[in-house]
This record gives sequence, structure tokens and C-alpha cells, in this order.
Amino acid sequence: MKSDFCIAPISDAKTDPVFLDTASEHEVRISVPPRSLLVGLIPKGLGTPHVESLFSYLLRLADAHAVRFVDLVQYVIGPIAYGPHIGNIRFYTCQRLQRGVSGGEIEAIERLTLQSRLRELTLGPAKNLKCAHVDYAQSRAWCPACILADEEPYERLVWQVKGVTHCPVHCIKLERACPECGALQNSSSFTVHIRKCMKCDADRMSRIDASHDPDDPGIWRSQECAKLLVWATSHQPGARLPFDIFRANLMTIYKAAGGWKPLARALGIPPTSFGWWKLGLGVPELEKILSIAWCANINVVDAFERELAVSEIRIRAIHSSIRKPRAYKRRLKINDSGLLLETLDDKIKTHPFERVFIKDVLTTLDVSINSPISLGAEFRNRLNAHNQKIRELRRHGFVWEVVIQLRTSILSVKSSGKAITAANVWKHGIKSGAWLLPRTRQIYSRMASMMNDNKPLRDPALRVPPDIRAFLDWRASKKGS
Amino acid sequence: MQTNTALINVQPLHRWVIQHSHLSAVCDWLIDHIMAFNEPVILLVVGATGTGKSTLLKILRKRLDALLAESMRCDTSRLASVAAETFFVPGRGPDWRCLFHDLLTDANDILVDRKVIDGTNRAGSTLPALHSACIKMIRHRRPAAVLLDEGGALVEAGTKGALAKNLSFLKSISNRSACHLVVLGDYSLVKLGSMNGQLNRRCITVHLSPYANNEAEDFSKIVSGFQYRLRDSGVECDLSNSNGLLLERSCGCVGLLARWLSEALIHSRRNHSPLNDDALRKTMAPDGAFKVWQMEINRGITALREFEGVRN
Repeated sequence: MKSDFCIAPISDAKTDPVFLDTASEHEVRISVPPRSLLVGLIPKGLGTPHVESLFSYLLRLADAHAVRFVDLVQYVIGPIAYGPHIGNIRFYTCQRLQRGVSGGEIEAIERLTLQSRLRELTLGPAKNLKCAHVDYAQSRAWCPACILADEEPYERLVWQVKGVTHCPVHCIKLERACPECGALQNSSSFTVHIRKCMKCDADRMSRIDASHDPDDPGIWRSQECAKLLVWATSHQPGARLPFDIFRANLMTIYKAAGGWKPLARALGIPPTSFGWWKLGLGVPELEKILSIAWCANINVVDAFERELAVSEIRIRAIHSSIRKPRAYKRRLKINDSGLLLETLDDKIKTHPFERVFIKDVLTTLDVSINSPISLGAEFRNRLNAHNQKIRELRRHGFVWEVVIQLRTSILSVKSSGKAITAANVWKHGIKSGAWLLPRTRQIYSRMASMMNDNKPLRDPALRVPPDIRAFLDWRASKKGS
Repeated sequence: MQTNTALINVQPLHRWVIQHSHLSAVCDWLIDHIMAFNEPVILLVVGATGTGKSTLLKILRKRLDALLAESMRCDTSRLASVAAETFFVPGRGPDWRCLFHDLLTDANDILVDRKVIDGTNRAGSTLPALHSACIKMIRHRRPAAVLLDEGGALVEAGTKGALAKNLSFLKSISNRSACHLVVLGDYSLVKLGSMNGQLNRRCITVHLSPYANNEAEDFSKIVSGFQYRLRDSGVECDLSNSNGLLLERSCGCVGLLARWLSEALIHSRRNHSPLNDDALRKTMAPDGAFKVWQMEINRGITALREFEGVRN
């Protein structure tokens, strides 16, 4: 309906005929709001832990209009969200919508459907609340039992949150791949459907693995995450989570656990992280918040809403951490490289320059470790012997010299076509002068003199490679600022 | 001089929408039925040419808009009605593709040319895709009735298979969309109820009858209505002595009457004479045409009498 009112003829022509094309006295004007261009489907599960995701809503919308999802996005939502000159935004917008960005797309969909609470179908409210790093998983996940039980199937928002592994209702593990072809489901395909596989068109709900471990922490995590999302939507957009209460509770947990170390070990994070959070300098990720709540055996929402007493906290066993942290895994993988790589692992989090550089080194090492080699005890011993020097260098920011030396040695072995063994790495290191670079000697001597005579370490005459010089400049600028 | 100026105002006389007693009665009955009955039915409104079926459709739409205004205020995607005109392709029967396309366009649906069936990837608006899209549109937009004008084309089919297809489409729209279907057409529509038992069970036939000779008084009111409006527009006319002639030669059909008056008006303008009995007699339909109309009405009414359960 184009106009916002309709004209109704009055039925008084039983005896006398009336002309309806002109006679306004025989008509009444009744106000009716304009009709929505898209069907105003009511989002499922609003205000509950089972709220629908925006992506699922759009899939249902496309189905209601009997058009493809991509067509709906490209020809209807896209022009309104981005204007008429949009080009081919098909893939881009699908990806963005899948991830539920709280940009112009949601406003466009709200305008088209005349629905007002579509923002709650995304992680937008949680992100607005600075519940840091709440993000979507890379691919879609689903619980076949929920989908089969639904009268009109829809995907829940909580399934799409990164780190959620179980269905909060059925407690079974969420599926991420098609049971027939094993393909992961994402939104970049032309054929996205709630039930069918985007690749082989098979029914993704054909198999249900109902077996589950009731003590699996993943179930608890999923249920708590669902509650947290609901709680986040109850706050105004832009409001901050009450982290003061969380910090106070963190201190209570600290008291109950008897220090940060056991807790850090259980969570698989360095104890220093707690210091940052405690001081309010950083905000833990959602995953970490869930892990802390799990270890302390408390509700996540309680951790934000009220100050807990020590008696309410029951620290779980150390080995009951929810999942092994990434850093721990990496250390296991490259344990043969010893202390140096452990240091690198810590350093990788600090600065983009270092991160790029160290990643490069780690890639080299990973390649060498994944190939059938053994960096055996001999190499480790020699490296340990070298650690004293490394520590000295590290104290003065010259750890990179050693990294370069190690990298040069390994690359030298690789380029010679020999097996990357400890003996070969060591031999080539000496041969290529990696360990005995005149520059390194200079550094060592300068360091010694600095320690003895308190002379400045950085001599402009010192020849350093450009990347090291860039690093030094960066450090100097940081210190200066 | 007065006549020329006036004619500019009254020229689209055939577009005048007059609501008379027969039209009101059928419209009221349809409204009551649509609003009261939950079970979806197919309402066949049959009538001779010019009895006001298309006018009825317009009035019905407006009244449904008004009746459902409250509900439409709460649900911003709801429509009061959707309407389309059936198009007949000689030798092939009704053009369903065109019909579904028109229904979707009337409902202001998106991407009508890119409709797909569930689970397929081809966006090309094939007939099954349009059919499915149409049913989905009706389900989601929840109109009180789907109105199809010129429904006589639905029973015209080149082959038996085509006829079966027409019937199955009608049944599926009625069943799957859970919405009343109002089909307006000539007397050939009566056949629809007798073709298929399943369809017969769902069909209710309503007759929009022309004015009979014993309803001369009602018809004279319509003539007076036209006369008043013409005079208001500045046309010099006198139709008071021509009631009998008008009723007889228009076969009691208001549409035919309006067309006749329109032609008589043009004739009187050319001759600079008033619109009176003479002008009417000079412009009345030839005997052949009159007989055809009369025969068609008589045949239709006989068919209706044979078919039980007609509401007149």
C-alpha cells in the first residue's frame, strides 16, 4: 500500500445508488501505516538464551520471499545499506552479515521489515558492552536435535559464538561439518540453507550423535555463554560492563585460590595477565571470563552483577581447565628448541615488529621440526650453554641477534640439502659464521665494557642489519615517548 | 456552449463507479462470509457482462482495507487483499505464470523475476517457483481474500490435461495458502463446481444478477442517479421517460447502461441536442447484440438453476 490511509465506502446503497468514484461523503478515511517491503518475520527466541542469529533470520526471510539469500542481500538489502553504487558486494556483504556487524546492514533490514529489535540477533550488544573479543566462529555450527525439534527451524546465536562447543539445551556437541561430505558450512556459498549442506545438498540433520559427557565443561561453558548474551542485551548499547565488580570478584577468587599461579596454571595463561586485569588495564576475553568462572565454580553473570564472598567460591581441581591454551600447545610442539623459543613465544605478543619477525623464525623452525629431524639433546645442551649469553643480550634488547644466528644456521643447513640435525645446524652455524659474527663479538665486548665502565651500549659505529636497526629505533622512540 | 464545457467533465462516464442495491447485497454477503468463515473456500461470483463484477472487486478491496485496518496497524506486513486478472491464452487456457506474477506484483513483493523453489539454485521464476512464491506470499501477508477477476478463463482449457492443471492450481492455492479465493467471472464459471468433487466441496457460487423486469423501480433509481450526476455536470438531459427502454435494452446490467449513456452523450453533443429518449433510441445496441446478451443471460441463469446451492 503506497498511501498511509485507505478509503472505505460506506455501505448505504441498499436503497439508493451512490457514485463511489467522486462522492467523498460516502467514504471514510482510515489511517493505516505503510506496509513493509519485506515480510516482518518475528525473530525467534528474543530475550531468551535461544535467540535466533541474524543470519538465520535472513535465511528465513529469503525463504519467505522464495528468493535466494544472495539475491536478497545484493538486490534488496545492499542498495539500501550502501547506496545505489555498490558494485558486486555479494560475497562481502554475505560475510559481513554472517558475522553480524552492527553497521548499516541491520538498520537497512530493520527499515525493510519494520522490525526494531534485530540488533539483538547479533553479538553487537555484547561487543558494545566491551565484553572484549566476543566473536563469531569461523564456520556455522548447529545442533541437529534442536533443528529437528523446531516447528520452524532456525539457528541460535549462541551456536555461532567462538568457543561454544555444545548445545546448551541438549548438551550434545555442536556439528560444524556436513555428515555426508564433511564440508564446513559458511555463508560465502550461493546456496545457504538451514537444513541442507551447501556443498552436497544432503540433509545435515540426518545424523545425531546424542552421546555426551555430562561433566564436560563445554556444556557449562555454552550454557553460561547463552546466559551472558541475554544479560548483555539487557544493557543499553554503548554501556560498559561493570568491570569494577568483576575486578573485586577477581581478588576474591585470588584469595580463594591462594594466589595467581594455580589459577594461571589451570587457565593456561601467564600469571602477569591477572595483574593487568586487576589494575583495570586490560579486559579478559569472553573465553577467559568463562574459564575463570569455571575454575571458581561461579555463574558468569554473578561475577559481573554482585560481589561474591570467599565462601561462595570453590576452586576446581587444577587439571580441570576447559581447554589447553594455545601457548601451551605451541610450547609442546617446539619444546626441543628450548628456552629461546619459549622466550620468543612470550615476545610474540608484544609488538607487531617483533611478531612479524618471530613468526618468520618460528615458521622456519616449525618446518624443520615437522620434517623428520631430531633436534636432540646435544643441540639442547649447547643451546643451554649459550643461554647465559642470550639472557645477557635479552636484558639489553639484543635477543634478535641470537635469533638471526639460529635462523641463519638452519637456513644454511636447509639450503645445503642436508638433514637438519643438531650437529649439522651447529656445524653450519660455525661455518657460516652465524655464531661467531664479528658483530656479535663486538656486542659481547661492548656489553662487558658497559657493565664494567657504564659506557653507553649503542655505539653509532656499531654495524647492525637494517631490521635490527629498525627495531632499535622503535625501542628508542618508545623509550623517548 | 455549456454542453461542450460540461462534456470535458463527464467524458469518462464509463469509469463512474456506481454502487447499487444488487452490488451492495453481494458485497455485504461476501464480506460477511470472508470475515466470518475460518475455513478457506472458493467463492465464485458469476454474472453477465456489465453487471458490475469488476466494480464489485474494487469495492470489496476498499471495504476489506477498512475492516482489517486495525489488524494491519498491528502487523505491518499484512495485506487486506491481493488481486489479479486472469489472462486467457487461446488454445492454452489461462496464463498462470502471468497470474502469479500479477498477484506478487500487487502484493509489492520483491524480486518477482528471481523466484526460486526450495532447495534449488536456479533463480529464474519458473511457473512452479512463482506458484510456490505466491503461496508463501499469501501465507506471510495473510490477506483476507485473494481476488481473481475475469475468472471465466480458468475453465477454458485447450486439453483435458490443461483443465486438470487449472483445477489443481486452484485447489492448491485454496488449500496451501489457507485463504479465501474470490473468483469473479461470467456464467461459464458455474462449470467449475461441477467438474471436480473436491473442488465442488470448496466452491460457493454467488450470482450477481442483472435487474429483472419486476425490479424496474430499483433500476429507475440508478437511472435517476445518472441523471442527477449528469445534470450536476452541466449536461442537459431528461431520462425520466426512458426507464422502461433503458431497463429492457441494457438487459438490466448497469455496466451496459453506463456504456449506452456514454454513447448517447457523445451523440447529443454532436447534434447539440439534449440527452433524451431520442438520443437513447439512436444509440441503443443493435438487435443482434441485444439478443446475444439476452441469450447469454438466459443460458447462464438456466445453468445456475441446474447447479444447486446458488445464492442469488
